[in-house]
Amino acid sequence: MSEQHTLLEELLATALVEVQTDDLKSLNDVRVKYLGKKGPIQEAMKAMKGMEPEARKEFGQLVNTVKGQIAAAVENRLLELEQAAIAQRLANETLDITLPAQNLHTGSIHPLQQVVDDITAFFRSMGYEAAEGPEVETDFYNFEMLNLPHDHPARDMQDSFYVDPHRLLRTHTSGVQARTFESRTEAQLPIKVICPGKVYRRDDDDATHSHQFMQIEAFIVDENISMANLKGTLQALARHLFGADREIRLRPSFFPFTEPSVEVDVSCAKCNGAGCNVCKQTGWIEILGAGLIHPNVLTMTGFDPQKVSGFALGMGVERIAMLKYGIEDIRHFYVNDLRFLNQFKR
Amino acid sequence: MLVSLNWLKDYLDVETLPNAEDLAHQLSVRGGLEVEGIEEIGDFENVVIGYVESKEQHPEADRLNVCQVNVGEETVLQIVCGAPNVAAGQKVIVAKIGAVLPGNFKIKKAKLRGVESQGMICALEELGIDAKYVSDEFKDGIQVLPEDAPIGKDAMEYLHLRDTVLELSLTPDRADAMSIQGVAYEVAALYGLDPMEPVATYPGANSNQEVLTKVELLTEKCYQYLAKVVTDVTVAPAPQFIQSRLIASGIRPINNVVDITNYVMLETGQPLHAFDLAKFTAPQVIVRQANEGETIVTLDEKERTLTTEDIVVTDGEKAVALAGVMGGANSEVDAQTTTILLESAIFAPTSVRRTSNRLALRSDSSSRFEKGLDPEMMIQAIERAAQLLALYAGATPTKDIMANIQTEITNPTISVTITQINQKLGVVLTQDEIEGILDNLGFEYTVENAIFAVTAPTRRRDIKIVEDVVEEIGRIYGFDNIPAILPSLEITPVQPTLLQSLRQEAQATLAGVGLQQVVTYSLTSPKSVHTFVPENRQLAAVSLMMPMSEERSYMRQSIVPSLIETIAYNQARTQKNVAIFEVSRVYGQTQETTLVEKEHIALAATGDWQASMHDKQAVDFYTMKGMVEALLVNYGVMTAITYQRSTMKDLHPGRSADLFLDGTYLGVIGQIHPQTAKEFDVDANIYVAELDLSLLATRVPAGMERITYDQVSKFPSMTRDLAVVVGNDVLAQDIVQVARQAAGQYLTTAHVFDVYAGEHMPVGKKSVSISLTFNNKEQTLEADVVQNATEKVLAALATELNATLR
Repeated sequence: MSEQHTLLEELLATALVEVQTDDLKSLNDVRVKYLGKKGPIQEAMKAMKGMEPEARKEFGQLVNTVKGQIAAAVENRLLELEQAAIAQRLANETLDITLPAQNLHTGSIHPLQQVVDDITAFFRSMGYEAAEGPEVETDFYNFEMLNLPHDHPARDMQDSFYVDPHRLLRTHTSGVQARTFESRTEAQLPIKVICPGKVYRRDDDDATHSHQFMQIEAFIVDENISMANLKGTLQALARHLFGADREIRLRPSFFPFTEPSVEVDVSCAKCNGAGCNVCKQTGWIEILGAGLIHPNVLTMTGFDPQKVSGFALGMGVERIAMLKYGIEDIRHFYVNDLRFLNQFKR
Repeated sequence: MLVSLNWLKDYLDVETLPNAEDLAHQLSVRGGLEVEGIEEIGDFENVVIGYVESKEQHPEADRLNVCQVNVGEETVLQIVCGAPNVAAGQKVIVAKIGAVLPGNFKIKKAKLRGVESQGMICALEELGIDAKYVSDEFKDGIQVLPEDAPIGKDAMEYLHLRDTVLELSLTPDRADAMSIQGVAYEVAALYGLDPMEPVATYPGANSNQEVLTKVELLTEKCYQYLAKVVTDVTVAPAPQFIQSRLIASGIRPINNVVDITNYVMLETGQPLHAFDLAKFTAPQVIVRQANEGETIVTLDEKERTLTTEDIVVTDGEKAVALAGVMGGANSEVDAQTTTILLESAIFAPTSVRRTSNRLALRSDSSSRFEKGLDPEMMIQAIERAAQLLALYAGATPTKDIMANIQTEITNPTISVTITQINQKLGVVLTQDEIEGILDNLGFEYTVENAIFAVTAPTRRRDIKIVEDVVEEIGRIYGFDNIPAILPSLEITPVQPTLLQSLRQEAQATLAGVGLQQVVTYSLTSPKSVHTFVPENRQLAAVSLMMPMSEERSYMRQSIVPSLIETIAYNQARTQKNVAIFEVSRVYGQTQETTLVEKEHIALAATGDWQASMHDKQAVDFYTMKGMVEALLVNYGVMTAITYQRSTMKDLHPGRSADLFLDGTYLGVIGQIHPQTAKEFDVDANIYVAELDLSLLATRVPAGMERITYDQVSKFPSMTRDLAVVVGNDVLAQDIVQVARQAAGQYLTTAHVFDVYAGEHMPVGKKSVSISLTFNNKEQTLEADVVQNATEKVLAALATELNATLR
């Protein structure tokens, strides 16, 4: 009895040592060796047959205990080995997570277009529709219908590129004003239009001049449009573009197609009006020109200036972008150096 | 316009005049006369008048002199001076030790070649006066002052060269501010001051009736003409204050007669001309239109050929001046002149403008004539000039004026209601407030029943209509005081046009797939104008009449050349991988000279596509095709697109394709031709595409309308892959097309997924693998239906494309 006991306990001890193998195959060998049909546990079971019931019971319990312990040890070791294998695989698969990505490189919208899109969206939100006109414009729409007859001294302000005696590359987007008014009647009021586009002037290209540039013009016609309405719109625009705490200042000026005419300054965003190099110590930065639409412009396009009035405002897109981002040279916009353009990704 | 504050103070009460900064601010913000700069002249101390008591040669230096200079102090200063014209007995300008001259030049005690120097004898240039204003006499040396200059006195004070100058940037409507008096009126209006209105007095002699025969106007383009003869003139330098004020105003002093006419022009805004009357054939003035081809030699000694549009002043025989633009050399005032005829006139602005533009002869005088002049100033100016000539040229003016007033110049009386003023400005001004503003402006008015009848003085020729009056009231009241109120109007929905939407979507899609948007110039060279435009689609070019350079003389018909130039620019700056696009118009004209502006989208790419350390693939034809198709898929037109080999000469013939949208030419994709690459001086590995966005805008449905929904099938699909051997020239597009037509109703998709040529393939043949997917929405497809369809496809491919199953 005790001899068999001792054998079993020795068997258990050896099995528990052998279980601690490092590979799955030898672990399986261990399992077969001890728990298989020809293994010592089965042998011991067979041996029980000839025992006294009392002894058989006691021995049977012992055999089962030993079998259970060996099986559990094998199972545990199997789990351990599997987890070690996974850990090993994961360790092998470890990446340098700071290496560069596989690019899903996107491009970006040109900064001038971003400004155009932004201002267009701003005005659309107030019910302005976007209109466009020809870039090769007639003298009639570019000048005459805007109260700029031949020999008007103001034509000096914008030397132009003519393609023939009657047509030129438009010097401003204001021709769209004349074309829009002409196509509408007083029954179609109010007119609210925003007009972005390319314009051209005979300027030598340098840091602040470009023979081609972009303009955005907004205009509105209805009954009783006042300077106060213009000022309200300008203030909203300035704050949209340059920050909620910006102030605007209107200075009297002259444009043939508006009366009164104003130049619009916005308080310098960098120094808050205290004076700095951006605003040339004045606290203010000129951003655009505006005014109430000249009665001659309304009359020429079939509106009665006694009944209706309107305002128009126009700005240089490059200037807005240059002010907003501190861009020092207007030529950057047209040279298209990727190192410049890439900065406008968002 | 440069405004000397010293001069301005002649017309305003000095006590009440604000400082320069405040003045500049008010002129800009309320005056409508933008002040672009404030310049301080002669703003330094310790520069005095000295007397050179003796001059000795410097012992060590041939070109230096050692001068003993009395500056009115106990000790005489020893000054080493290098100017060639310094001499004993001269009155000179001395910068004493401690003076800080322009350019932060500090005068210190110094030793020059071993001799002590206690200051500097100055030229005007060293005092900040531009060399162009210095008279020839002193150009190469120091300034020598008149003998009566008081020793020890502040030199800048003595020279009237300590001043503050405002630089005004004037808008074309404010001709009134092209004079000191005009600016004085504006300052008076802004501050509520009373401007002084000087009256010129002088002892006059004869009447002009006795010395002049007539002033005759034979052209209606001379509105008014005043003539006055001045005798006994002695031509000499003008007094220093006149010279200094001219200098401060940017005009070079010449002699007293010329300087006085310029001085009066700056003071009153009225250009004057002085003729040497002795050079007239007869003592008379006849103003007429020039004869076609008539010539005159102007004061700048250039012969000008005239047209009948020009106006000339004549003595009855010859033209003596090109009216309003420049005098004639034949009647020029010179050192011997004793009798002059002063002209103060008003000519038709447009006529002067046309003449000066045509002859490219712009002057201070023409720029004033062409904006319109004030008849009151015309009279004041001629009298003021007579007064100054009497005072500073020893002259005897005639006591009156010979005048010919052909056209009266008046301002209209404008009727404007208080309501109009308040409505247009968006304010609530009372009658009293409006009256106060009009008073300050010096406008005449009457009021009855809240209706103002306003007449601006003739110096304000720009006040013609109600809105002009409203602007004046608004700006003097202060635009700052107007409230900011957004318009409140009827709400109407706003939609972008289809073209605007497509443009926006193109930007988003193309930037999304990795292309950078660029903006390039519309103007291009004659060489590039038809590059990358299919030969059968080239329009007559739109070119500029007067381009600034050949490089920018034509309006482009394709965007691609600009994109290639952009690639070249970036490659030259080590940016090797470039993928860009532009949305822009192109321009041409049809035979009937009708202008055509169309919107195009162009793409260009080179180098590696989506390059990273993990993966990189060189841009090729299919990359470019993929970008274009990304856009066309978004527009929902991909199924309407067909490709054909392109014949565009600027593209690689084997790697380029024309795109057709429902059979209409839409654009092109391809690699640039090696020859074209050479002409652009770039690598030929550039792939480009250009599409007609205007055409798309007529064919593409609006955003939400592009989508048609098809229920997802409940039954499984079956796919059959076939590899067929065809000739090398057979296009994949044709294989798919034949398969589609032959496969019957259950075919859902057919696409090529592999092409193989080479080993195990006969020469001139390739194997094309095509995948066909079938589905029946009603029930599960049976294998024999698919088999049947597949066999039909193979049969059709065999018949139509000579294909065999591999």
